[in-house]
Amino acid sequence: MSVMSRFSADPAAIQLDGVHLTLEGPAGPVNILKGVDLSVAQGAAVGIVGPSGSGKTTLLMLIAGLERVSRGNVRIAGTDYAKLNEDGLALFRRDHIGIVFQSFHLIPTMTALENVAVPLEFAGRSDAFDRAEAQLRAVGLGHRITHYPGQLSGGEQQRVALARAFAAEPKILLADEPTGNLDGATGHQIIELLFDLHKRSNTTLVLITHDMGLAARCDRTVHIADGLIARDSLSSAAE
Amino acid sequence: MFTIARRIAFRELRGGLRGFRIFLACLALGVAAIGGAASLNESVKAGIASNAQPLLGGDLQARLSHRTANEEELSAMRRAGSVSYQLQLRSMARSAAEDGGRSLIELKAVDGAYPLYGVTEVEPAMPLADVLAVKDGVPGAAIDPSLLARLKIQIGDQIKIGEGTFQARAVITKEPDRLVAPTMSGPRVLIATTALPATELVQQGSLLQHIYNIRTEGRETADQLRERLTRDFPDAAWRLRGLNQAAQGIESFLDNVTLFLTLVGMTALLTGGIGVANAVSTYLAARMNTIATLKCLGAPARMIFMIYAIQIAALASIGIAIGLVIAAVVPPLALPFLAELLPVGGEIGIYPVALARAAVFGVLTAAVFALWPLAKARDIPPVALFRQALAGGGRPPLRYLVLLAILGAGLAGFAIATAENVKFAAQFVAGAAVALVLFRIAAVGVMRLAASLARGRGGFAAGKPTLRLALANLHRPGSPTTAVVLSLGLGLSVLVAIALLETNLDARITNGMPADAPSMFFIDIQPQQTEDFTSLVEQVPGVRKVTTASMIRGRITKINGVKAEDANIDPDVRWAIRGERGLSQSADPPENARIVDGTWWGPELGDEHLVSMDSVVAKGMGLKLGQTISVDVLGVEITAVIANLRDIRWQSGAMNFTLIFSPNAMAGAPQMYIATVNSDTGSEDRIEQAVMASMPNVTVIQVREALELLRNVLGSLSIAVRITASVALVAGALVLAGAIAAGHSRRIYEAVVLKVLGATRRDVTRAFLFEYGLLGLATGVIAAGVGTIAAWAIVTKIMRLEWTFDGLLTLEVIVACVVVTLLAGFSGTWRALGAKAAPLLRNE
Ligand SMILES: Nc1ncnc2c1ncn2[C@@H]1O[C@H](COP(=O)(O)OP(=O)(O)OP(=O)(O)O)[C@@H](O)[C@H]1O
Ligand SMILES: [Mg+2]
Repeated sequence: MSVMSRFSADPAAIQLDGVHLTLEGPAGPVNILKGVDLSVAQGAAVGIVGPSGSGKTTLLMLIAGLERVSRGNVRIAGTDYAKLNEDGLALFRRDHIGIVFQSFHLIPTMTALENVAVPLEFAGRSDAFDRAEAQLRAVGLGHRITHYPGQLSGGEQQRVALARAFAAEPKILLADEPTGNLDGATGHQIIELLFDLHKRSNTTLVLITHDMGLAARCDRTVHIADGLIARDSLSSAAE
Repeated sequence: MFTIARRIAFRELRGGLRGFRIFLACLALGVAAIGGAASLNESVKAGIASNAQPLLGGDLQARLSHRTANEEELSAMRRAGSVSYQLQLRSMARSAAEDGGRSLIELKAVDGAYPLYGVTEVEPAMPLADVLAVKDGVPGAAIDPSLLARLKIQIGDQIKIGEGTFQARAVITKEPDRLVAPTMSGPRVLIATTALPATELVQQGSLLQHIYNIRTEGRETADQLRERLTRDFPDAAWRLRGLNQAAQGIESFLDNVTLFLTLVGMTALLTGGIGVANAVSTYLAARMNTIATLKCLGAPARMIFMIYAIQIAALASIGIAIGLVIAAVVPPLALPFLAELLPVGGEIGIYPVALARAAVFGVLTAAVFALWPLAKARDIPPVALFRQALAGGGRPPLRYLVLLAILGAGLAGFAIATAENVKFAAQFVAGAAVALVLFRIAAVGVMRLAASLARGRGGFAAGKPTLRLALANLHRPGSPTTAVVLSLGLGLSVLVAIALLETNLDARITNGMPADAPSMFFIDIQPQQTEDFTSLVEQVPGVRKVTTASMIRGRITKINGVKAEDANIDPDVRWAIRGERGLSQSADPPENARIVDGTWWGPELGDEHLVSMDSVVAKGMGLKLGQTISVDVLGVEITAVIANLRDIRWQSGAMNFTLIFSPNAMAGAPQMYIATVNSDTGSEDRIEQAVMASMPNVTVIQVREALELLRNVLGSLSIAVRITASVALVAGALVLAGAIAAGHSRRIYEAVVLKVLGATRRDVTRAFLFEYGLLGLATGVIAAGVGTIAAWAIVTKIMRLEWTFDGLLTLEVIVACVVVTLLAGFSGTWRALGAKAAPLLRNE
């Protein structure tokens, strides 16, 4: 109930209504999402868990506007995605959404600093490089700013990706198994950083993970199974 | 180890040849260009060889310049078989009608036995004897079809040649012993020898040739006959030609054309080689994981090298085979286009030597250009599996560099050794090596520049991530910059050079020669006519200057006492001792003479014969002041001491002689005069009319017409030149397409990442626009620069002509290069713009 009351006070950061997604697979159409309703308040942290192939990444793509729903409605920070074209979605992402992937997705021909500066430059910020550098320092990479991705370790690359996702101070941060490619200790470091940034900037965080313990650190845990939300529970850790 | 390597190699190739289309096309194109050019040459030569008898006009030919054969000589020839006599000279023909036209002609008088081989075909069809016979007191003539228009006559009308009158009875449709097409010399007129005296053209010292063709009739072979004639008449001073010399006049022309085609073919192969290197690197870069995995599984570096060498060799064989098939069909496809230029059709067939040579070129090129990336692949470390590293960088081990040097030297050596003109081929190879190095340096320069411009903070590209991405893509390891600058740049610079050469030649033709160059030449002026000639021409309005000089036909026999054949002469001036040349004699130095060494003789000449010589020719013959040169004039040897050397600017177009003798040296030698006239444009026809009216024996050559003739020849050639240059360019475009295709998946990935970060489609488009635009611009500018320098060097240093720069053309080439690069880039990238982000971003 508390979730609903927050929604009425302020538009939800993420609002999914009856979202279906069907994709053409090699053996005919595949129903990946089969009617997902989800509402996340601004500033909340949501962990998404579920078996492999259940549709977690797909859900994230829909929220990021990188995939379009077959049926239903996606409304992010009060904006209806159905009203935006591809470029509109790109501009929306630029201004409101940061994404961190399991396999980093840095641009190999750009230095760490340049990678972080890109979204700021797209936003036309004149202080792009200063902000990018500050952000890299914030993730503990002040000494690596001129390195290319190929010259960085996996953990360092993921920290660059994190700095890049946070650089433009997005309202929403989406993370898809950000520690999946990293060892335990490094992964732990990244997660600490992620929650730290989330707390400090009141960013809405959506974190996909296999780690139930990690999910439990979020305010809420959403269980996905076979394209549907199977369970949506408030974490014990949440106040 | 080989068996395993082979097994693995072919297992990997099962995936198909799709990634190798460019590789195959590059090799096939180069091999086809070289093999096709050589096949074409052989086919034309075979055509000439099988038509040698009609082309020569007999089995053996004797040529005399100053006299007819005497009875003894004639009967010696007749003992071997039938003899046909003909006489060729250059003259003028004009319509007998008042308002008719005039034209320079190639007059040929033939006897009744002509032709000994082949047939002369005329229109309307009738026997040649009937055409040439005297009818109603007027002898007949068979004329080149073009003369109908030029002389404004119709068949049956009368024409005048010298003092003689003829009836133009038929047009010639086929002349069996005609070597050069009429477009490349003057139009032919055939008359009977019996009608020749009436023309009064045959005078002592006239430029003419008496030709005796002999058809052997079994009693003796041509070789035996030649031997007997040489033995029995050691002093005859005739030139004997056998069947193997039938096409002497055009063989060197053919060889030059072939040489040119081969060079362009080699350029195509070289460009294709870069495509090969690029394709192999791309392929191996994509195989990096496989290679690292194989190494993890225990494959030694040598095995890796072998696996991929086998694959490349197998693919190269396919490419070369395709090229050879194309090369084999070049002659039948190309011959129709050359028909205008050649005396006979080519012989269609397969020319194994030409094809084998092209195949060797293909093998060597594939080896040279694939070796480097192969050697590098050999050293991919197994940890590549675990560290996402960028491909490229590094240097293969020394052993492979040595092998590469050997193969490269082999390729260059083979190119030089198999060329017909070794010196030229060597120059080409050196030039190509220099060009490759230059383009390589230019490519590195472009990459450096891109790197420094891309530098993030506060730099040129700060705040413009798409521009920075583009610049980064120009200089990142494995970027297409080097390949495109090298290959497209090379092809394009050839095109620029050729286009500028043509522009310059055209400019010389249309804007005319230098202002002080004469507009008309007159030859065959008899000594007693010279004064009348000068005063007559000087009276014509528009005439600015008349210059006359005596001309004596002679041949250089000795150089400072050494027989000319045995003397050590620079090939560049060898022309001076070939056959007869015009010599002159004069008391005073010519008006335009620039004496660089020695002094001109005074009026008082002792017994000593003196000569003034072209300084370049003298240098080429190793002659200095005070040494001697001997010439044969009508069988008399005249030796003279070199008194001075002149610097002659042949390109000025003014009358010049390599050798000018002091008057005492040439006393008594039969001479004719030649004259040049400088006149205002448009007055040529008036002058010609005036001279023809009172001196019909004099032959007029208008410089403008001669230049137009030259342009015709160049025009026919330039089509061939353009075709071959575009072959080189196609090779460059192939490499461009390959290089861009190689980056396809990288570009889609970048587009997706940019979109995730908030880039609109316009931003992504802009990034690609920058990347290809800059690449095209850099390549175009470099190619335009190199091509212009090459053309400038050829025009000013080799042709020694005035240089005209065509900025518009250069600009066009640069713009075209940018457009082509953009098109190639976008045709491969359009899809990247609309690429779905989600599939690429899912975890692997
Ligand atoms: N382009 C596509 N076409 C058809 N089916 C697809 C496509 N992309 C994904 N799928 C299918 O959609 C389902 C959901 O995929 P998704 O990546 O969202 O799963 P996930 O929950 O993230 O799994 P994991 O935990 O393994 O990452 C899978 O069964 C997958 O095979
Ligand atoms: Mg997933």
